[in-house]
Amino acid sequence: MEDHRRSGTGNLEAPNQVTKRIVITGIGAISALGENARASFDAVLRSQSATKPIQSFPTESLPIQIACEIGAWFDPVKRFGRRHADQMDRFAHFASASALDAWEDSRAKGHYPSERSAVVMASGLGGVLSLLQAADALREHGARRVSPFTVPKVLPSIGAGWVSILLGLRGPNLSPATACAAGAHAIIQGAQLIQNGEADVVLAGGAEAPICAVGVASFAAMRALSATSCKPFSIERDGFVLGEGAATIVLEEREAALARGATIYAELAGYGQSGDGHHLTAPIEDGEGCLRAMKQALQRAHLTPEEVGYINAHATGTKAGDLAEAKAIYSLFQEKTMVSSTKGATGHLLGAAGALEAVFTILALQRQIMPPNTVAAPLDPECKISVVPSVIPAFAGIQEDNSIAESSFAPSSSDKGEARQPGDPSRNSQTQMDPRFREGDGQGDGGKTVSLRYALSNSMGFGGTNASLLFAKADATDDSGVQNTQ
Amino acid sequence: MTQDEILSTLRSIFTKKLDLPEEELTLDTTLRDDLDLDSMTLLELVMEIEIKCSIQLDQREADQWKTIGDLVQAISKRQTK
Repeated sequence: MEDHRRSGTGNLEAPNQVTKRIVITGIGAISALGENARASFDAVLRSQSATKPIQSFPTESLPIQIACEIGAWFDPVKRFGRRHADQMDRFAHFASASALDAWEDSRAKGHYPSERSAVVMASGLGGVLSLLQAADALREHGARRVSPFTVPKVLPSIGAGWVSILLGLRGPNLSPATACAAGAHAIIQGAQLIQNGEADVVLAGGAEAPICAVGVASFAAMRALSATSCKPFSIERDGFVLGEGAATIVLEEREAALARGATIYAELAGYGQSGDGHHLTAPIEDGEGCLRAMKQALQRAHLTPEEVGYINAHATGTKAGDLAEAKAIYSLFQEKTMVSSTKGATGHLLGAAGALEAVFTILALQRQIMPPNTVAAPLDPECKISVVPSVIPAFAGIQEDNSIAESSFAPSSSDKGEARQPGDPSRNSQTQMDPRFREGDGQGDGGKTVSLRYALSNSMGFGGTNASLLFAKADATDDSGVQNTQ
Repeated sequence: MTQDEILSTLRSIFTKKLDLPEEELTLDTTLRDDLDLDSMTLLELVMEIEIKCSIQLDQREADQWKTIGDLVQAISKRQTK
């Protein structure tokens, strides 16, 4: 086993194989909070929540009437053209939008053979909206009114398919469907493809579009949904709120990324994955499955718990789930590591949650700021963890600023496919921090002004499936892998 | 429906679903080469045609529909039956 700090090759070891350092060189996301990764993250920092009354279908007969919906501002026809847009389910629109943004952001186009460029795009439910549409057509008008595109709209793997078609990427094309951990598993699987020598570059992420009457009724039937808001780690927590959207990151081997002049957001220093073998929907009471995933992630990176500054928790705001995860976190980190869940802001993106939260964790490391635990309710004393405050004073009251959104990942056709050099001003405009978002601001009320070097992102899914991603700040270790002290 | 009315209906369906200017569609427009239609997209368009024209086309004949003109003929034939 290699040492992440000393050997320079220590992440994601694979026995008997050369280990490679995997870095993130591009990010893309679409959520109810914003049209791209930066806008979504900035909204989280402002403690905004996208939770609103459902607009897209009547809810009078439903027990739950709120969700985090992506509004009409997202126009798939404008983005993909009428013909393609009509052939895609909503989840594939999101998958494609986030993947195209991430690919553009990475400037990796043209640097690797297309057969060595992979796509791993997860989804928990796939094209449920299209399946329901087909069921309605069949019931109301007969079989001749069922669209021939029903099957290729419904397949959970079709998000990966569309991304490969739109970008001409011909490497491995995969799609984990591990419920609410699927987005995190996609990133792990993507890293493994590079580790195993099966791909040079991987677009990895997840997409979900579950907001419909059947989706709401089904989760409500499990008593999984809150009627008011998602309140992670709060004593008043009573369930999650459905969200929708997608997130994608671009993974590359570090040396190759540096050689082409890519800007590195962060490094995937380790990961862990486990199963509960316990219950369909409830985690093991003490979070043992989640604990093993986090332990593995630390072991792979040869890090101690003390070195992890922030954990983006899976915490969906359910009684059992939050407590189990809090117990797992406490047993490994006690109260030394700051924890927050961003699901109060975005809603639960199910198979895309792990990917969106990975993007937030990466941006937290890059911008040195921990996302707040967006919930305005008292914390549960039983959850013995240090929770990031719900409001970051420096951001409180700051209204949405379009200049922030526009400066993020607007594709620039002029330099499409060209490598940008470090220090290139066009790149800086994307990664530069808004002056209000100064380093250390996020730690104010938490009382911990430590520099964030390592951060975890947890995911847990129905059936008892867990994943934990361990990210390192881009310059946490030097070329030889020696841990930088600054 | 007259043949002109059928052509006009097809124009409206095709231009809406495929984002094409109406003038691009004539009786000689080929479905595969000019419009780049694959079999699934054609079948989806046929669904729309059936709704708009209140007919049922024989989808087993789809391979024989090479041009917009062929489709107009097929629709016209079903109407007279």
